Amino acid sequence: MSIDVILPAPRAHTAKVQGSIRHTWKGIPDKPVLGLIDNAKPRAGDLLSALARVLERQGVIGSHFTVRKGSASDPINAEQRADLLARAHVIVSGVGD
Amino acid sequence: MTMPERKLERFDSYLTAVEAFLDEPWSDGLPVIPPTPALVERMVAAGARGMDECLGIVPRRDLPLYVWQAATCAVMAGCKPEYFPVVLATWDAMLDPRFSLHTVLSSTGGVAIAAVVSGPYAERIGMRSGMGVFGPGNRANATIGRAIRLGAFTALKAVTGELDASSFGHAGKYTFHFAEGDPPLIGSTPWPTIREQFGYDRSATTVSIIPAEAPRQIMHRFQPTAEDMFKAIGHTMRDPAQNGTGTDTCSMLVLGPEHASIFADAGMMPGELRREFARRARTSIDALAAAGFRYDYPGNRYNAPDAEGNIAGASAGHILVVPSGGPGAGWSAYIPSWSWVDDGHPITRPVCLPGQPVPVRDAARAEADLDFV
Repeated sequence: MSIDVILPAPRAHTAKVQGSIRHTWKGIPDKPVLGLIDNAKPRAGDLLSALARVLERQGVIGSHFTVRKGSASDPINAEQRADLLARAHVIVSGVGD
Repeated sequence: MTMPERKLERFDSYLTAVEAFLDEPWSDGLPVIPPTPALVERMVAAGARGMDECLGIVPRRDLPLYVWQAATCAVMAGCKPEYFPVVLATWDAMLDPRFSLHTVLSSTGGVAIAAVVSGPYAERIGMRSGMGVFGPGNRANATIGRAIRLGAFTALKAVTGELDASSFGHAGKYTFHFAEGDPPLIGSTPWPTIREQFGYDRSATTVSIIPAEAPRQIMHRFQPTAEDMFKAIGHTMRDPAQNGTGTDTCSMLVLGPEHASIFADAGMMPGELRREFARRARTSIDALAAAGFRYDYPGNRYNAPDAEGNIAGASAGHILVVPSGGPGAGWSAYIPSWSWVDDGHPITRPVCLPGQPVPVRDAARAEADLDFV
């Protein structure tokens, strides 16, 4: 016998489509600009800077810049998001502790 | 903010629906009761809120929680309708911005919602406060906490590996609701109940929550004195591996009947215990170092040492003494917060029943320093 049920949330495939970030894809140049998101956890900035220096030394990236979140609990704000999308070809995020 | 669509879907059979919910991120890994419209409506009717009422919005995540979503998850969890007022009171507490729900639901610390229910309604719906208080086996305890976690999974997207980044998690993330037990007596005078300590009438029922690491059981069955118990519990409270140690954290100290009686026999009330536990929970730079933790590591949030070198932990106002658990050799449990109160403040809310006045807190009757409100 069939049963009608209230769905507690959209199905996962639907939710992923709705939640995805859409932006214009930029081609990655030979010396891309790396955007770093320091999530404000202890020493995240140190680790990201070290990573960027290695990549610059190896010639993998041309330059880098960092945005720092106000708190690890907060998402980046609208200005930071716009800055990253405008200037960076590659973004590294999600570093904690 | 727009209310999420309440969407109906038809399944071939009851079992097909159960399997579909397990396939989606709509379950804690255990089968759920398919939430039919009739069951959800019955659940809503048992609360004091309308189906389409918004209970609150999770700051930063910008996700609302509506009564129909809370009720749907309560059905899925296996709640009886009469449990729903406790579910709603828990959500009221969790959606207080000071509880910082986005952080609590997403941290690598694997945070559970520990909730103690104080009052006659807990007894009326059969919540457990005695033996095996943290489970398993009691439907009310098990399903009320489970309803909360299912709501976090579905409406608030706290899906493991996505917006829930728990490194480990723990069993309390399945469910962690329990009831306050009988207070011990000082002579013929019982300790004030938790709700009374917060300034509510004895006839009211309240839910108090903290964002919790896993509980630590504390055994002392060697005829301890009150001083022995302070030492044993203090030692547990200042464990350097707890994320909140040495910071402005919060906790619940759940005293089993033997240990609670030791303190009551010494003439001590909960307020005195809180203040002494706060003193015993202090640590020091040397104690941290002995356990392998560097006080001066960049980014730590340890409090500064006082003139005697003590580093304060939870203040007395952020420690809740809870008589609960069953008789035995002599057991208690310490439930630490996973963090400091800025990332998850302890909160208390009254349970509201349909057709009855909302219990009102009288701050003048509350223990002034108890900051769980």
